[in-house]
Amino acid sequence: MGQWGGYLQLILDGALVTIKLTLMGSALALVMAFLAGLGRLSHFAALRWLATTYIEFFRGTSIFVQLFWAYFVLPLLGLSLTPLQAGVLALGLNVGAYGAEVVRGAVKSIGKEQYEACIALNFNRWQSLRHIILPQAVVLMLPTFGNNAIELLKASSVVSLISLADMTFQAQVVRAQTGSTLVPFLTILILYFAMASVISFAIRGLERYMTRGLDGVRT
Amino acid sequence: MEWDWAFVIQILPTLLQGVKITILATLLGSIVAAVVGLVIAIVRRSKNRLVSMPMGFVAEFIRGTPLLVQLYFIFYVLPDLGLTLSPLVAGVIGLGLHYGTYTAEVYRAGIENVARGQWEAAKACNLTPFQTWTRIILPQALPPMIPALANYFIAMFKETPLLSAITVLELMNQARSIANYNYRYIEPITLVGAFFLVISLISVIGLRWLERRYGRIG
Amino acid sequence: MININRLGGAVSAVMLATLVSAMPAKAEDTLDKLKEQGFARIAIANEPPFTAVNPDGTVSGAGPDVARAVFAKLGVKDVVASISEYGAMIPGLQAGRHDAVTAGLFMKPERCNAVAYSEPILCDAEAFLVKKGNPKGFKSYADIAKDASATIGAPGGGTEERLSLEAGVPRDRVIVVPDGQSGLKMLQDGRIDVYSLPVLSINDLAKKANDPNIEVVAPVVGAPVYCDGAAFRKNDTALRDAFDKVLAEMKTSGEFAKIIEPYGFSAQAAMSTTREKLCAAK
Repeated sequence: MGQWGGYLQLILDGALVTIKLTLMGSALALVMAFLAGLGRLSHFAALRWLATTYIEFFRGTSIFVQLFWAYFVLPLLGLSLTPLQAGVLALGLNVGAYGAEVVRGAVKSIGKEQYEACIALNFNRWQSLRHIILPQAVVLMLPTFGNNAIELLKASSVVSLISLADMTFQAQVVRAQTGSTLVPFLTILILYFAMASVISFAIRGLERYMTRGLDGVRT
Repeated sequence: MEWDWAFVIQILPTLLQGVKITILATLLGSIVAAVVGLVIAIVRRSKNRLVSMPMGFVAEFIRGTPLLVQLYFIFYVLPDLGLTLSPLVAGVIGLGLHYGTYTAEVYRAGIENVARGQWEAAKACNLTPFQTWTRIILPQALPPMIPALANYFIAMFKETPLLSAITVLELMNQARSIANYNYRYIEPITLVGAFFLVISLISVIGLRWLERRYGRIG
Repeated sequence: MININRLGGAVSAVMLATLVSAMPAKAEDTLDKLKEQGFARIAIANEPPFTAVNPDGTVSGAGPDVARAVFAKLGVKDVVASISEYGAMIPGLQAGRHDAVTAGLFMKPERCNAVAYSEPILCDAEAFLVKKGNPKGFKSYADIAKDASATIGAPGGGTEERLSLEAGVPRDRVIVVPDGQSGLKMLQDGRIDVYSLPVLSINDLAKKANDPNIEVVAPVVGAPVYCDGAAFRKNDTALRDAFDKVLAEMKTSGEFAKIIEPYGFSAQAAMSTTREKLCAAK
């Protein structure tokens, strides 16, 4: 049936939206993870409190609820977002909250002697963080960040419920038009799995790249 | 649009109906996930690669694809293959299978934590594999896993709103019905968020207690 | 250990900026704004023949076609449609997500209170899709309420959901179904006993399904003929009045009938009643 070509195109259009959401969402999540993760380690109680509130709030309420809230309630409070903006905001803030704990854990796991060395070198706090602590901590964060990105990819399917035409949404459209259920759903399951595999490959590659020359330095 | 307390009071009983289904789905889903995870973990340990490799692939596949699409698959595709499940059962199976692939990792780590000598001792005592698992390995491996398992059950709880997509009348679906009927989204959706936040915060406290009681692995 | 107040400062700045920015645009003159941007955003469902999304992603159906024609005459070149659940349409309109709803959202008094409707456009009665031979003999929403084991499927926030609830069917027996194909499938799979939509939608669905094991019950007893109109925000009455003026011209010129009759709708039905009558009806 030549018709499938047109439907496959529809699903691929959706795949593009899914990829866009995943990339933009991950970028926002990365920024939020560092802001909130480092915020929790700040010397200022107000910052720690702010970061903790953000983390607990977004980890505590479901991504689904956050998305609906961003889509239906925020406009009533005067902030109108397109479905794509609402999707990126909800996904980024939600996964960022999980990422923040990863950042905090990694930074805290860097040995005390590293900080002492920074003091000996007369680095200020920002310099220590920028040149000594973070370069080591980021390597530790990578594998979990990879998992988080995959979680974000999977969670992005929820945007189909606020009528954003992502891959899941398009599969529903194809199903509604053809009456076939197996083909569209199986197609997108495979595509999602392929995307998840690309993410985990990329992260492993990045990890190898960043640990080059570190052999024997870290245990 | 302003917050209307009278409306909140009016919709609260209906929302609580949804809370019941949400909690029921979480409990049943957790049981399925606990069993499925154990099965996956044991099969993946099999020395027969014809068994362990396909299981590994299936688990990775389920983990790498969205729960929402899996729910659609169970709900819409399986009837064509002759299996029609009620929405709640379809939802519970979807949750259980998906999170079973996560709990499998917990079991794997927990089982690996049991010292090799225990396996050897079991062999020396002439125990069957079934006896080895039920009498020796699992009783030692399980308690340290409890906090990690509980962590995934809490994560699962936060994904139950997805069941509304396959017409289960859980909390989120009740809230949407109310919103649709009254053209007011602000109160129902905010209340759902508040409910999830409260239960999550309480369960985090519970989790810390479990960690103190059983220690943590991984 | 480390002092990162600079980063932390940035956090709060970003959060504040997000909250404060983008206050809603006040509706001074919505029509001028639409003309300037060249398109109007309309909410639709995917329920042929009222509204339909084609495989190539373009939008047709009687509702969007009428809206496109009227807006073109008003100087708004195009319409951009977004698919929405019925129940989400009015909140979406109020939230500024859409400029108009043209989706077969039938006029009922409580909806008339929430939005500014145009004069009637598409009229239809209600129908049931049931298993062959209508084994439970359903003729009205009240029949479904009486049978304690019966379930009815309907679009979320649509007229049929409301009619079922008003007839006394309890909430847990009114199954919210996302789209026509799902409703059909759930009926075939035995998950619901009845699927209810307007007559033309049910006929369209039944024709496409081409399944000898289902049949149509139409019209539903006790449910009158309803008409929809284009729905605008309550404070957009100027836009609504402009829309009405063009619509009235198209009704007299016969252009209106030419658009909707190929879809099976009766222009006569829409022209023989008024918004005032429909909004007052109980």
